[in-house]
Amino acid sequence: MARMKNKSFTLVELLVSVFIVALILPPVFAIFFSMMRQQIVLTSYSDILKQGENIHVNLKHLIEDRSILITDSGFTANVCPLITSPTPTPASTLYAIDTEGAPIKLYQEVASPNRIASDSASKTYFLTSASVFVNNLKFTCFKINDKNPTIVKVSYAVKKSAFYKDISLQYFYTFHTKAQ
Amino acid sequence: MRKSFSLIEVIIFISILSMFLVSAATIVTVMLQQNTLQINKLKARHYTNQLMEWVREEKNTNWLTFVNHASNNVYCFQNEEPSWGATVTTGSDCPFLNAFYQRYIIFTTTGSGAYAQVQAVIKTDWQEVGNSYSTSIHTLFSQWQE
Repeated sequence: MARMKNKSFTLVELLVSVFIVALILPPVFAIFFSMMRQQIVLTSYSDILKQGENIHVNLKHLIEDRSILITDSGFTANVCPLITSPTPTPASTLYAIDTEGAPIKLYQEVASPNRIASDSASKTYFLTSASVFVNNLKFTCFKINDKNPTIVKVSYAVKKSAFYKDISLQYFYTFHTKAQ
Repeated sequence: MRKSFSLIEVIIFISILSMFLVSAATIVTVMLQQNTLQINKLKARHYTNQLMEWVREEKNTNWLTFVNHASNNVYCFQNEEPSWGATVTTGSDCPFLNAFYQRYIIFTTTGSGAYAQVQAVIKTDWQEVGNSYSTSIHTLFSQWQE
């Protein structure tokens, strides 16, 4: 029995071991978490870029391929002035008439949650995935002369929360409508 | 007699442990740097692509105005929303975008007016851990095709 007692750790040995472990573990965890955070940020940026490009393709189709007239909210009067500079005050909603004469409304859906929506023929279509948030959607339209198509400028920010930090990218695009 | 470790054994153990820890620390540092580089590359590509889209639409809006702007100049684009600004001699003179990137276009024009051809090199440069990095798009604009 006496020999068995001699083989066990003393209190000092245990305290020293625990102290050394307590010194090593925090930096190890800090490194682990910073690596994990960077991976999440990298993946989030990839997702933002993918979604941002997707929004661009959708807007391009709706504005360049389908819209023939940018109108007021009643879908009657052309609201794009004939100017070169400065550009008109941006609006958060775009109203247009499509190639088949049907109204199109493009706006930022705030309720669920911050997506770009398109109302067409009494149906609402979401142009963005719910995996990202879209902020500051703005439309501006104008014409530089009567012969050229209407120019529509669109800007928006795509945002995503990554490890308790919001990351976002800004997008700025110019489109030319199908008709003059 | 209680059996204990000899000095040689302790030194060998510490040496092996140190080699392992130093290797692990090096790998982790390189991985962190690479991840940061990848994030910055993604953002740089985004800024370059945005500028490419903008300059293409400028060309589509009014060819002659575009050619006037583009004639053998280097333009800086330090704001996220691109717009024609001041010209510089080289891209390294450009102000910083988001205090990190230098985004610019090098235009080389041959011919003039409706028959001009504009070669554009759209670049976003940045420096990181003492190294210089760059993303670029080379393209050619004319009134009939790009």
